[in-house]
Amino acid sequence: MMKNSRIPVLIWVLAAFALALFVVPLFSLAIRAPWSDVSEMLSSRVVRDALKLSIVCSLTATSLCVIIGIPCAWVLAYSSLPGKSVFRSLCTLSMVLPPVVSGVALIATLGRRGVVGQFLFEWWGIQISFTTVAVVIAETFVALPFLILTVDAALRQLDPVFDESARVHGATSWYSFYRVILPSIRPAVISGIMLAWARALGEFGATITFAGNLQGRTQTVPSAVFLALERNRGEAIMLSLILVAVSLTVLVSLRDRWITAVTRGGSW
Amino acid sequence: MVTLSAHGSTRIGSMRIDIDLDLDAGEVVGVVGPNGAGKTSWLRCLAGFIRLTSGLISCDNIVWDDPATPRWVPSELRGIGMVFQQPALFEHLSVRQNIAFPLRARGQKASQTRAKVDHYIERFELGAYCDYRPQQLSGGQQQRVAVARALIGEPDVLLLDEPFSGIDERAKQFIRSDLSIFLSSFSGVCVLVSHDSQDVDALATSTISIDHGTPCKS
Repeated sequence: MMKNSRIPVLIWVLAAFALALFVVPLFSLAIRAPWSDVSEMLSSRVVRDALKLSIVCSLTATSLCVIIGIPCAWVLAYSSLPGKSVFRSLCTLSMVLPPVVSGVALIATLGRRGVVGQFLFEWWGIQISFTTVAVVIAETFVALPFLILTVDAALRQLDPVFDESARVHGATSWYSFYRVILPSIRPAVISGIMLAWARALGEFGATITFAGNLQGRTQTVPSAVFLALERNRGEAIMLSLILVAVSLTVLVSLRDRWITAVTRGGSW
Repeated sequence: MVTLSAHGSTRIGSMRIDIDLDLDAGEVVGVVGPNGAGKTSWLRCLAGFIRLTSGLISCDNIVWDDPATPRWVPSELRGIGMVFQQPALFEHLSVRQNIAFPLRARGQKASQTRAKVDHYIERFELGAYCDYRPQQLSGGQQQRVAVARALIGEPDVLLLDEPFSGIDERAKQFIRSDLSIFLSSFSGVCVLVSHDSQDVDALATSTISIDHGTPCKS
């Protein structure tokens, strides 16, 4: 009570508005959802295809994020690379870019006439844009910074004495990294993976620009929501609720200690 | 017969560190000096955490650090055991796993290390705590684990950086007495950094005093 009384009334009111901004739209979704048609909608081909593609592509993108993001964070945290701060900014740029710009950049790179894509097409006949692979690449592009930032921050805050202690007692840099360093920052790694996955699952702008919106091939749940808004608002709401449920599950499973670990890079 | 020779210099920030050591098998040198004198930096050069800018470090005629060549042996290949100022134990590993770490890191399987780890657990009276995590132990118990970890790999070179700092008198006496027994039959070389003359008197066979990173007297 003492703490509450020290907060001015105006602050309470403004905070309530902020909370309402988050909560009311979510309740509105639940209120407007056509619950009587839920089983029919969820079993429709469009929804099943979109859900399957979303889950498969987001998990693949998250795996790619782990495979390339953790080494990237390792280099950022421990190397003496010149211009490292520029490298760090570049690695996290897609976090602040408008998603549609990310999509255009990916087309310019991997499109059929893109900087890299033209050679892939000319030499091997490989076309990436507007395929399922493009969905995975677009999701990886936008999700990767979440993993890199989280792991990089945790690595930089970890006392170097642990690595030194491992190394002097016979551990190679690989052994030290996977047996000492990674377990020491495990909460941050898990948080990074969860955040990257949630971002990949919700990705829309870059995906629809680079991969298109073809059912069963490149249509993820957010793309399906976009299309459903035109023809069946109820279906769009149900699909949105599915994404809300998934996001909430991720947040609840992250819980306070993981989120704290992101900000301080510590261990539990 | 292990010999360690370290002569050279390096720079840490604005401070120049001049290292000057010649040790024969069984010798324990105490490095003393005020705070910030560069004692720990000497150990860090020997451990391979800091490179020399000039000079040479060699052990048994194997060059560890020679900026002129530039030959460099990384920490993990130097055959060192080290006790840090803070225990630096791995919090996600149990006491047993921490002690076994140098053996596992050098490729031994858990089944091969069991008997030896048991011996060290018993020797350092850690039997009741072997499944504990380091954060569940007192400062003295943690330091006992750190000493056991440093010794279990049977190192040629033992580096002790203020091994008795931050622990109570009883634990200090226990570790000092055990180290004294170990060092009396140790065939390698040992460098002990301490600001406490009692520790140096109890364990060292010779003393080097340093200030501003440079040896003053032997």
